[in-house]
Amino acid sequence: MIAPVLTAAAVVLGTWGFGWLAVPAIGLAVGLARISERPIRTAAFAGFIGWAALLLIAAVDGPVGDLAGVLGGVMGVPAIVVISATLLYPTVLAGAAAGVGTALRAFGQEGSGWG
Amino acid sequence: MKPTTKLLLPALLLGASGYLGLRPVAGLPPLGTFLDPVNGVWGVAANAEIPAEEEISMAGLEGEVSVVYDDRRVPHIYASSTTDAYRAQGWVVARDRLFQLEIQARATAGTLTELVGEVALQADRQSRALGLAWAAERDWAGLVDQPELVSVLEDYAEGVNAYIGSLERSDWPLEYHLLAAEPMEWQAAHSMYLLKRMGWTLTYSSTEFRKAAVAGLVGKVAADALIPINAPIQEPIEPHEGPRVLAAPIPPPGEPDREAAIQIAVLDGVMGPMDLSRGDDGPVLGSNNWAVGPSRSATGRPILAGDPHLELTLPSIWYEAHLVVPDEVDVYGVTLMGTPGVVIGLNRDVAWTFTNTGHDVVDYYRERLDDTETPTRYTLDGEWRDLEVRREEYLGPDGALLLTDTVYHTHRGPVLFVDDEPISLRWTVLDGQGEVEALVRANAAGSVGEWLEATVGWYAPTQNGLVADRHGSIAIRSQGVYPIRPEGTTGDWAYDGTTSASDWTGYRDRVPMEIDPEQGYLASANQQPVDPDADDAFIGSDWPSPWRALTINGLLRGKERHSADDLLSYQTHPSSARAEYFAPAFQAAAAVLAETDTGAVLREAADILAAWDLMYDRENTGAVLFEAAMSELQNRVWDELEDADGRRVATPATDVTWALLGQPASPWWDDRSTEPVETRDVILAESLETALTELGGEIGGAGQPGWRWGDNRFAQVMHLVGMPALSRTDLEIQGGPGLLNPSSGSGTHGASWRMVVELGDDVRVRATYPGGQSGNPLSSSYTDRLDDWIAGTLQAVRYPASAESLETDGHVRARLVISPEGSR
Repeated sequence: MIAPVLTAAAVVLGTWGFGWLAVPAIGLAVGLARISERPIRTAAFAGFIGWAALLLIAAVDGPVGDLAGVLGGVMGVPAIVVISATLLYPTVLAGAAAGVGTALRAFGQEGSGWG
Repeated sequence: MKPTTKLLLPALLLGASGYLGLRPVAGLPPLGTFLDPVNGVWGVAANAEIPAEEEISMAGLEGEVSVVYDDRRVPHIYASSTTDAYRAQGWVVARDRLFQLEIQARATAGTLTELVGEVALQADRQSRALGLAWAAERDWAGLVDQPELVSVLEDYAEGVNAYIGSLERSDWPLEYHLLAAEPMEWQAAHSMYLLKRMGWTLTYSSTEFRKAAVAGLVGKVAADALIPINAPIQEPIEPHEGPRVLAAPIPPPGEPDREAAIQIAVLDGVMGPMDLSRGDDGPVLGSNNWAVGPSRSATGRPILAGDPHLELTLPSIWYEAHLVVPDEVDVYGVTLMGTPGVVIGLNRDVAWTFTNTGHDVVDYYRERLDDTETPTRYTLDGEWRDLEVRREEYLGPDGALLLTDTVYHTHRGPVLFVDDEPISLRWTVLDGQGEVEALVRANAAGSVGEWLEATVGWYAPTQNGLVADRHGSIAIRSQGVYPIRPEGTTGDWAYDGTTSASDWTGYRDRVPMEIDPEQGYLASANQQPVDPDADDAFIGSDWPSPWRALTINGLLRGKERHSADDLLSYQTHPSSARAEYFAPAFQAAAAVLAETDTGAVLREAADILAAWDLMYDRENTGAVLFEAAMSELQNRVWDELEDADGRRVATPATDVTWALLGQPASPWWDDRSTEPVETRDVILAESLETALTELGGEIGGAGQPGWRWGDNRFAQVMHLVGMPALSRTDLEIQGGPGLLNPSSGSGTHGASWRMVVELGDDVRVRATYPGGQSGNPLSSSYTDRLDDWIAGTLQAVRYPASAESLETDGHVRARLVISPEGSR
């Protein structure tokens, strides 16, 4: 359980320091380094939890729920869709990047190369 | 699974999600930055409210500035110099209205495409073709010999830019996140842009083309009568005994003037699509102001009221602020975005407000060019003169070139191509400016005389500036420049551009003005300022029907002394001079027809109208029938003004229709689609009868809930870029066509600010506007004034003698201290 939590913490700090591109970068690192048995799940979980934590922090500073409603209104979708998209997006990003990292690691280990 | 397959799926997923993160897709901004909870749109929530205590620093500040926000979120700016006050004003305005500042400047500059893309191309092309920004830049360059004014605009700009420079991406207003754009740097010249934009809103007209289109159907003589340069019912601003009717009969439809004919589609191309079917029930810029002097005031103190009507937007066009610099200025009121100081408001000594004057200040000239494709010269007095040529490039948000235009100018102004014919325009708004100096000086005026002196350089748009001072003086002046046209012309037909004899020869050296009239009050409602019998210099075809002028003059004449509450109640008064003029005509016609027509519907309609109190309060049930009958009447009477495609090219205003009531057998009354020749009474009665029949089908018979007037007229306060989720729509208001609270059919225009000021040893102010101080849709101050605005009530304005007194009274919401950079 430590790996997902640490990865989520990295997502929080990475997003804070470097923006959203930190999410796939961390996912890729998780896949390459294989810091857990299931790196894709770990990275996806961390992406989800990391941004969920950041959203909660944002909610302390202002009416995030109301904002979701406004954004939903602008986009023609329910507020929950906007919240869900915000949480699913880093999940997919980090998970996919971890998948790529895992595959690249496998290439390296099997020496299969690219050709 | 093969290793390549293991890579392929996540790589595809990563590529797709990465692409969505970096690029806009399907109208959505790039999702990566947008959804980022730290740097993206979610930061908008954190900026919904201003912090209770805040300290910042600003470069270039001369001393510390204290900004105290009251409980209506109005910033009271206390500075030790005007330089600092304007810097602080730029900062606080930018904090609340940054996106509005930018979009309005871009709308004038014709660079909206860089923000919102190709959808704005047509609007941008029109702005650049008219040369608004070009004129603003020229005016800005012309300020070089007035360094104190340059300094005012630069101070303001530095305040705006100091705010922009302090922002993280997450602090940007919501609209920037949605558009994936970033705030542009504010230039001092942009303030001039916004004043030009207001000039465009208030004075740009196409009377010449409308008249040409009408002449193409019914001849020039009829066109002159249907779109007159003098209002048929005179209730001018200048003091007078009562309304007067200009008795000239309306000539019958004449032969089409093929030479003058212009296609309505061409007119759309020049002015943008217009709905010409309503006459004067279209979008209304129907501003009002009135003031009573001590002799007509219930308290013996002068009272001034003003409610300028403009397009209703969120955030509102106005922003409330109070600027205090000891011994220099202590001014409170509303400012336009980008305008330093206060545009409409008050200080300890005077209060002032504006309505639009409506005088024709745009003329068109048919030009002859040397080449139809790539002209370089135009003819004047038999000689070729060089055109000024500008190449305009329109860029998209990503910097890609969308389109290139070439814009031509003659010595008169920009050349528009109307049905491929080159037509230049001369327009006072493009000719010069004097508003910045006038407004800055007016803010510090100590009396009516000083205010009039301060604003004497006002250029355009022409405005009825109403002012009162605490000593009891009141005055009104229709200020601005009025062109002197060639002898015998009135500027309502396009001139021959090949001769300089068509040119304006200067500006009039006198403007309508009245100080301390014997009647003890002054009022304006966009009507013709002076009866043409007294002075025929002030003309135009854009005077709205004088119904509001008739109503307010009736109310002010009808009572010896008026209180502030009275003046406030008049702003949304439900009475209608228009109904008073027309309802008897409908009833009389119905009575005549009743002798020959046994129709039960007509009798019922006449009974409903007879029982109606001619009021437009929300619960009223008679106004619906009257308005439907008026609409029907306007359609039937002016059916001659439909072109071959069945499109209405113009609908005369209802005061012209009223003038026609005096000619019962005029051919205009005939409905061309029927065999018999109708007369006035037949058309009036049929309009009434049809109105009731159609209402029955739409909202049920009389007495049904749908007949409540409040369910039939709404205000639409739309967000600046039209996003419904950020707008407030279908707001039930007390107003109607021709009322003092004129509401147009679309509901998109209305009172943009309402203010009542009672001057004296202390100043009592109440005001509101349709929106709130904040441009952040999540803020409690985004629409917190709407309820009062809808109800027609005003909020007590805090105009404290000092920051401490605001504190003592418990009205402080937040404090901001701005220090010179490096002083802490």
